Amino acid sequence: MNKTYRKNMWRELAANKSRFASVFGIVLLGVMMLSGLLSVGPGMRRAGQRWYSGQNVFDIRVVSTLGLSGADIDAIAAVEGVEAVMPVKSVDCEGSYRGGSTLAVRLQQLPVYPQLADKANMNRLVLESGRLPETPAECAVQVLDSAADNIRLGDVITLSGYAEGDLAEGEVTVVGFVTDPLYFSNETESTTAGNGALGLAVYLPDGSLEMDYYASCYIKAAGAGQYDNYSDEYQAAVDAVKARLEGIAAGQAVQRRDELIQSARDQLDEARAEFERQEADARAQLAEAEAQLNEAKAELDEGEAAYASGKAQLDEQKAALPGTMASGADQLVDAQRQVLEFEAQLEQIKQLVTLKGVADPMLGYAEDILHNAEQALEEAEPDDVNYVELRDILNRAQALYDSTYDQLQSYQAQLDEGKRQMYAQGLISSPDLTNEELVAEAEAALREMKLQVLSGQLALNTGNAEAFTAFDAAEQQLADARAQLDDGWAQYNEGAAEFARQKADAEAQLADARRQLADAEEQVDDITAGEWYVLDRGSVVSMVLFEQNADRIESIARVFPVFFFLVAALVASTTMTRMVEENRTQMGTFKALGYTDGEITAKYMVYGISAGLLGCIAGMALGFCLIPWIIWWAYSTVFALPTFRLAVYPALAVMSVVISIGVVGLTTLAACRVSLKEKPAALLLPRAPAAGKRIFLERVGPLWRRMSFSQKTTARNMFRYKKRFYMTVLGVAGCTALLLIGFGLQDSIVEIVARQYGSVQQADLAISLSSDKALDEGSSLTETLAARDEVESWGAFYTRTVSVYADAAGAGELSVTLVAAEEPQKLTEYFRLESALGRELPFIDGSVVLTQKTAELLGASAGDSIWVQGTDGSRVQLTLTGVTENYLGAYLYVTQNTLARLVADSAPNTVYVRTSCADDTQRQTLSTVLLGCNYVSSTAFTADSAAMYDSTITCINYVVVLIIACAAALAAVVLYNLISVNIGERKKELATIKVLGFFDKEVYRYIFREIELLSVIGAAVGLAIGVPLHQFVIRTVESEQMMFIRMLEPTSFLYSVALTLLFTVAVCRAMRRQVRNISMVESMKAPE
Amino acid sequence: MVLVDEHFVSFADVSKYYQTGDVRVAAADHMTFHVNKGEFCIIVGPSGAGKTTLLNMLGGMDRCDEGRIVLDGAEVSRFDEKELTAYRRYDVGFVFQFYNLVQNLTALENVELAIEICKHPLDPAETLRSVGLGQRLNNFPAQLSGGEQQRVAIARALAKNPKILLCDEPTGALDYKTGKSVLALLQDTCRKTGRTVIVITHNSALTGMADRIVQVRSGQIISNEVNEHPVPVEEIEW
Repeated sequence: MNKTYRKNMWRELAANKSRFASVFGIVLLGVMMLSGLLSVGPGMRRAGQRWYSGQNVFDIRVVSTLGLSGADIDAIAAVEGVEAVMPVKSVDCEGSYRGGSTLAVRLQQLPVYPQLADKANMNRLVLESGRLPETPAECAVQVLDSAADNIRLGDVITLSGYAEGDLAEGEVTVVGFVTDPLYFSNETESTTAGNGALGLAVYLPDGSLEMDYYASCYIKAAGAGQYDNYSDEYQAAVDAVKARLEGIAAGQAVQRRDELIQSARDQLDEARAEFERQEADARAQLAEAEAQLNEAKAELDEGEAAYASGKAQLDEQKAALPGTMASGADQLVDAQRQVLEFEAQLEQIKQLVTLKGVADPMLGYAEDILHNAEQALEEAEPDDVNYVELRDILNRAQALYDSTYDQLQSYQAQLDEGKRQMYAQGLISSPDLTNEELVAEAEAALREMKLQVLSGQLALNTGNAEAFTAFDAAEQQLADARAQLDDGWAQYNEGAAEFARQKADAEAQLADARRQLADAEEQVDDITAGEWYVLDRGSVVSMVLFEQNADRIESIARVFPVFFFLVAALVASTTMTRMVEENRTQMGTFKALGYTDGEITAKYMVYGISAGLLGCIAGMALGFCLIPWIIWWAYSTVFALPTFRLAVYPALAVMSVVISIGVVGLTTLAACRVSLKEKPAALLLPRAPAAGKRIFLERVGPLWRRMSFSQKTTARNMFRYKKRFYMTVLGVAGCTALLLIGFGLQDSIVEIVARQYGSVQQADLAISLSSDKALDEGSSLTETLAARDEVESWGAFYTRTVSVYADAAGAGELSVTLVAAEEPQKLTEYFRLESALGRELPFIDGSVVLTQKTAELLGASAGDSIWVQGTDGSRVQLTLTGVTENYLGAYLYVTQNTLARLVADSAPNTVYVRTSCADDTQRQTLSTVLLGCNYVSSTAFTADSAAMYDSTITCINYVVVLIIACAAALAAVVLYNLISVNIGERKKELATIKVLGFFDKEVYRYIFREIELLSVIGAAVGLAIGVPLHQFVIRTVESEQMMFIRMLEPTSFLYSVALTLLFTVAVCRAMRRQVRNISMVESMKAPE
Repeated sequence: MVLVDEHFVSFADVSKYYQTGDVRVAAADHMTFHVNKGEFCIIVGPSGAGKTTLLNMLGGMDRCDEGRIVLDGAEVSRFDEKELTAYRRYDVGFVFQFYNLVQNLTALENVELAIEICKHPLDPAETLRSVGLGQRLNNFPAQLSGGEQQRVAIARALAKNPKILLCDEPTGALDYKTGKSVLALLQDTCRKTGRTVIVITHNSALTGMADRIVQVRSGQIISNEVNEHPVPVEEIEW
């Protein structure tokens, strides 16, 4: 190639910079998408593989429902193909730190040398900060749940809920943060402890866990390490060892069971003995207490009697008091009367004494008179005149004397009588007292009597007062006694109540203990021949999630970038074709000058290939760096894998180069060949302009006539150059279709979680049961479900993962969850059965309803037969009665009758619950309570599953947004390219109409109306081809267990068309300058 | 200073320069000439003499750097872009060497394309008939011969009812005979409608038919003379 020709080539390139740029840009975007999206999946897998081999992650792990004994470990190590074993002690319990709420924690004991580079030291931790623990009081932790985000170095974790004797220390100090290679996703690890979601993984140094069995045994399979984790060879190597391990599982499990049952029985016996002892103790204590109570009661009764008698006495005394007082008063009156009588008597006596004293001398006088009279008579003789007188006198004197004497004698007699009486009364000292003495003594006696009366009166009054005081005192005493008694009773009653309560308590405790014993006994009976689970890396949540995400990205990348690349290739190659065609005169000139076809072709090849190659290189640079970086950045919220590296994938790079260069090169070559086939003379002649033709529309007379002139022009122009029309329409259609697929992916993916858990599945919570005893009348679970306010309703179900087949021979095996409700109407209450068209499916006896994706994969629809593997291994033929809408998981809904044909024991094993739990805290509370019930093996809130899917879907959404952005960029570049080509080709035409005096606006309308119309047609075609392409992409991305929403939202149509038209309008606006700058001088040029 | 306003078309000291690198080339070098209303004027000169530059400036497709261009009393040289467009639209009819018909429009439609934007257009069909294409109204350019296409172009220019008809080498792409008939059409048009027609050509043989002959060489007007006795084109041989 000579110098001038090369110059021409470079000038050509410089002159067509925008065309060069658009080919470059289109190829860049296409290659970026292709290499970028295709490299994400492998990049993720490499990151995974690097992580697994770097941390020496196990190949197989054996866990047993009964734990593994040393003998089990030995047996495992002896299996052929087991390269290394690492038995690990671990236990799930609860813990809290800094007084915070309680979290479920997994304690795991580290090996003696946790960082030892040895095959047998598997799942090596990555120390993030701090150090590894050295004493049983220290630990390293990994935060598994955001609830534990605030844990810091130095925090002390207080552990609880672990079995006695399992742990050396109940409080451990955080000395380091680590990453366990098994926990690198943000997905919740489930546990049966606490609220069911692990908050922390706690790593303790060797010797911290003191149980005598291992929770799991990690195994390295011989020969597996040399293969990539995701390769079939790896899986084959692992599966071989797995199979051998499964071979020894049953035997080991039985042996372990016997050991366990023996030790459990021993423990149970001990416990029972202890219970009996405690029961006896309790009973004795109760009896004693009862005796004490009875004694107290007897005392109280006695006190009560004493009180009653005291009260009676007092009442009697009170009643008697008025009588006593009256008699006292009577006596006093008597005494007074006696005094008065005595006084009168004394007065008489005194009178008598006085009378006697007066009479005594009278007697003497009478004696004297008598004497004198006698003497006088004696002396006097009877005949004396005086004699008779004297004798009368003497008689009278004698009578006087006699009467006086008698008087005196009577007086004395009375006095004596008085004396005698008084003496008799004891008033005087002797009956022989003289009268004077008598009087004196009597007076003394009278005084004495009066004194007595006075003192009697006094005594009477004083006595009354005393009596009342005494009553008061007695009453006080009685009241005191009452109060004491009341106190006594209150105490007694209290004591009795206390006793009753204690007794009830004790009885309850005893009953509880008895039930526990019974439970324990039952549990011992339940110790089945424990099961060994021989698991591979597919049992690690993080790993599975990671692989699923890699798969998902790969499945999107499988289809979309290819379409994308095809659109890009189409546009790039048409651009080159047009360039070659435009250059025909020049080609003719060169040909006429004697340049060979090869040389002429080379110029365009160099142009096309250099644009393509540069675009390809830039596209790969972006594709291998930017796209994986963006997607990995999105995933970094889900996965904490430090091993992701940007990498160039040579195969992919070569493929990108070959395809993009191939497409551009071949089309350029083809276009050159077509042109160069012509004779130089023909090439030099301006090509006959494409004839104007009547277009179809003109035959629609009424319509054509109604169109304005410029509309007719536009219509004719559009269809005149068929090639330009198809190129533009296809290019635009491709972009619109890509945008539609992008938006459609979003429609299809983002909503599925809400659909699945908001509308298809109505249960909020699934409780797995270890035995149907959980649902027995009065079981802790049924009681809890009845008692908790947040439980709205629940239903017992049987669920089991089964294989379904498309035919009896076992073709098309798929795994589904078999679901049957114990009460048939509950099924439709918890699962909405609706066909894809939204028609409700009847679910009656004999109904067999399969979820949509599985039905599609089996190629079965309502009325077709499917075969289901029963528990006995046989394949049972069922006739589908319906196919229901479902997005996550795969389900086969059957009734009890059908279930009985499939499984031997169809007792419920799952409870679906509808709750009113509004937030995580409520859910965790409920979960904790439920996990505490008997026979509950796990609880799963759909909110948690939804959150898991959400995180995955958020990541996919980033990818989709990236796709949309790239599709939009491609659309912009393609439209720019198409429009600039269109304008470039019509410069002369535009110049002419400018000369004719079209204003700028009219020129714009003249050219852009056509382009805009082409875009609209392109967009419409794009929608038409986008819909099936979207379906295709979606079906490719779907997995067995995940169906996406097939329907596109109207907004997606709107967005993709709107974006296309927006770019069209924007590019047209940007192109106005170019149109304005077309020189009218162009119109003078000869047609090319 | 020449009083330009007396004439229908007048160029007064009009210059146009092209800057290529350091070299400034005068495509029009102080051109001064005039054309009267109703004249059939031929501007003649060899290739590169500045004929097209002159025509571009007169036709409002390009602007002069110096001097005044006046058409029918309007100073075209002071028009802005928009006024220039309106000027092209209403006052100028243009006939191109390569016809510049829009290929996907019929003869009639090509004419309509131009008159659609005019104020007082002539009837397009009638105009086509007047250029002798009454039978070819609905033919596409590709179905017409070169002469017929140029007639369509002339009809398109005439139908606009412009003040002046500018023709750039109208026979350049035509054979002798057809060229002659096209020139005859232009001359007839001028005579019959009294419209000012300016034809640019490199063929000095044609000058005999013109009312006014303007000679251009190296960007300068070297003569501007009136031909007192124009002959019909049929009598001219070249």
